Amino acid sequence: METELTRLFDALTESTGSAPPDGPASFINRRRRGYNRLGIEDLFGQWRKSISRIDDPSALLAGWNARALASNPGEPRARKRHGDQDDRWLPYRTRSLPHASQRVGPWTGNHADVEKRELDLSVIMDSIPIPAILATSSGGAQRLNPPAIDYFGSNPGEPIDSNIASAIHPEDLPQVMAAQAKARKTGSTYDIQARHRRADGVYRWMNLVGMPLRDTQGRILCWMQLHFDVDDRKRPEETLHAVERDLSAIINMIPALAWSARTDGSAEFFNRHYLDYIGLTSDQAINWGWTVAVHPDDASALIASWKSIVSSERPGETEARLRRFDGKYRWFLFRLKPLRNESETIIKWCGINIDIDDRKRAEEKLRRSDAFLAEGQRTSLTGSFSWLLDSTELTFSDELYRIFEFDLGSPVTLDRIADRVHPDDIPLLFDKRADARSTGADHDYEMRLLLPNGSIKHVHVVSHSTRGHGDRGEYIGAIQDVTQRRTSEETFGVLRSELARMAKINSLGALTASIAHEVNQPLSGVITNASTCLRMLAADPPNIDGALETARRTIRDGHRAADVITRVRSLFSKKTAATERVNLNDAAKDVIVLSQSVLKSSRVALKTEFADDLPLVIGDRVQLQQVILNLLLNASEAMSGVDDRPRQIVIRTENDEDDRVRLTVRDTGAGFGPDDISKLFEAFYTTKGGGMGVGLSISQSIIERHHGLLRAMPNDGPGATFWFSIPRVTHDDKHDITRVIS
Amino acid sequence: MIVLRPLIMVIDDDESVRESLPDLLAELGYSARSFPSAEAFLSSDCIGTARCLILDMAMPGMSGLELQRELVQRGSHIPIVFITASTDETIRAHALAGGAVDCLFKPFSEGALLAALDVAFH
Repeated sequence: METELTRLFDALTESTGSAPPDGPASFINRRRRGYNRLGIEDLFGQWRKSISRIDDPSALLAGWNARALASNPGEPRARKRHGDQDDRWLPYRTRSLPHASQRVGPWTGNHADVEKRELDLSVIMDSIPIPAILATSSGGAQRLNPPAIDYFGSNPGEPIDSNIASAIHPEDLPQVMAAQAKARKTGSTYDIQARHRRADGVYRWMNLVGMPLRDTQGRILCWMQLHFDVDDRKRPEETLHAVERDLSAIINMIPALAWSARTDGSAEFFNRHYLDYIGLTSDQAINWGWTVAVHPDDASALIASWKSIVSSERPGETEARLRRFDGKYRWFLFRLKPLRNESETIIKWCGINIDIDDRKRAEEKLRRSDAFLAEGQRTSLTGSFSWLLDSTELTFSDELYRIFEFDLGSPVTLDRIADRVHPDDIPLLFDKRADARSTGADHDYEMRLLLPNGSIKHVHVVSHSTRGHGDRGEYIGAIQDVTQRRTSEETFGVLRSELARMAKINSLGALTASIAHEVNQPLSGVITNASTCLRMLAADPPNIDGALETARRTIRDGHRAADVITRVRSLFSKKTAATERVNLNDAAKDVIVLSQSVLKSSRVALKTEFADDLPLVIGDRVQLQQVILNLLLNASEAMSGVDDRPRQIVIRTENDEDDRVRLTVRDTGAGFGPDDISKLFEAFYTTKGGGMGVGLSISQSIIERHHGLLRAMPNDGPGATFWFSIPRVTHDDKHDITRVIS
Repeated sequence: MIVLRPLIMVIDDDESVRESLPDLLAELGYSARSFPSAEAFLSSDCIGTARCLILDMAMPGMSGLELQRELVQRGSHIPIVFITASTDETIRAHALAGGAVDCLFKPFSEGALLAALDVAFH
């Protein structure tokens, strides 16, 4: 009897409404799915039957009530006074709920009601101040108490199940279902936290406690599920977890390699970025594993710095190269900071490695470019300076110190500079300074320095103003020591005239025979005729006519000799270039006269083709004659080995296009190949055994100074042709004889 | 009495020599004829009658030395006095080696000429 009742009591927990002993009908319309043990009608039928046999149902009630109220685990029992059955204590399992900040109860308010009213599990349920759900043993929700209804909201049209199931946060649902399934299988309670959506849509964390309600045989009839709101507590936890997650995300996101190490220096933690960068896993990198990523050349220095910083217990930094996942090394700044607890003891080291590779490369580049600049200045003997115009001090580069022979690093003042400038150039210097201060124009000039040891340096100064430094005028510039160049130029100038002289002398060598011939011939005539004259006068009777004739010849030949001397002298004089109107025909004829003997001894036949109306040219007669002589002698020389054909030179003058006059010397000598043309005009090129070979290059420069051209080409037949053409006197020049031959 | 003066040939392309030398030779007691070139002399009929040659070294065409060789080849033993305007001493050596009587450098004195002619005729 008791058993039956209790069973029925238990069974009635599956019901969803109040169950007055005499009113089963109200339950009928609330069938649950899956209930497969007893039909409700049967249940209540039996219930009624059972209750009617109880003498004192209130005692039973009280017992049930008591045990429902019990907050301690225990087994409140109820004794039933039935005749045909032993009294049996029926355990009603309850569990203390460890998480609950609220305890089950107090239901003091309800006691009286319950006592008064008939046993009503649903009333009990309703009096539970927290959401409670009655569920079938298969899990379907059957009844919600008012707090549950309030919380989950009721959707009259829909079955309760879907309300509840859908109220659980999708992320938590699987765990809930798993826990419930497990509990159902094992018959144990489940205790799980999940987010439940409130009627207003907000999710709150609930601690779900589900306990099975059993019959006397221990069979599970249904489940009571209680929801404890733990959101407020969970949220902070959640928040903390979220914060931790965010912090972790931040640490992993910062574009620096963050890490922490223990007090002995061994690494403990690497952020994601670090691990990704060096391409190691956390396990590979911790302790000292990360050192494999350090450049071998930097490793020992890094470890040494590391250890020294750690033992110094002060923040520090050091640099080293780290190997990237792709194998490339980059420079990093390792920054370490100790982390201390309240008692100031270091508990760990935190660090950040910052990529300074670009900066380091830029520094290196700058160092190199500075060195390059210094080298460039030194090599080119150029120094740079800057002058803030309102001050008397200047900044000099190292090379400029050297040029001025100041001690490196000593202050440079305007006065010190003036001390170095050649006295004759001081006015120029002051002039430029004043100009810089007033107009700020650019400068480009040369001046001389007079150094303490008396030597002179030529310097080329280039400067301009900049508007750096706010409004203060500034001059920056470069000064180049051009002494060497000046002296070279002077030397070259001297050398060039010397060379020209030597060329003349060289020609002179070739002309020795010619001069000898030319002079000796008339002299010979003088002596011979004079001798004859004397004899004639000494004869008996004296041959007066004869004497007169021979005397006449003597005088004539004497003049001839003097004439040759004059020609030779003028040809080889050291006169500076003269400017005059020159008739090339006459000039050529003079040269021919001087070369006749040479040509004769070389058995060269000379033919002249002089233009009759050849215009005059403006130039230096002597220089032009040198050129003609040079060409003539070359032509003669070229034929020195020729025996199989006549040795002939043709000299020709004619009008040329573009108002020019051309003189051509053509020979039948050895000629030259097309490759030799450029070589011919090179200074020092010669095919003559003993010659100096400067003739042609000097001739070319003479013609160039006359604004003319000197050219050579091989003939169709044997030999070569050399010619030059120079501008003729034009109408304008006729009145301007002072046009200078440069 | 007709005294036959020895005939001296003056061969020189220089006109002033051809002009002045024969007159001097005449004063010195010789007779002279002049030719402007070696070829002109060779093609004349005087080869046999010449008693002495005064021969210029450098001439266009056949040179003095070449004429000397030519005459030797022809078997002529005419004494030759070379005259030259060159100052080259080696030329003199060449000339003498070839059998010349002498080689005079222009301008030569009357005395030098006489001395050479002495040798040539004795």
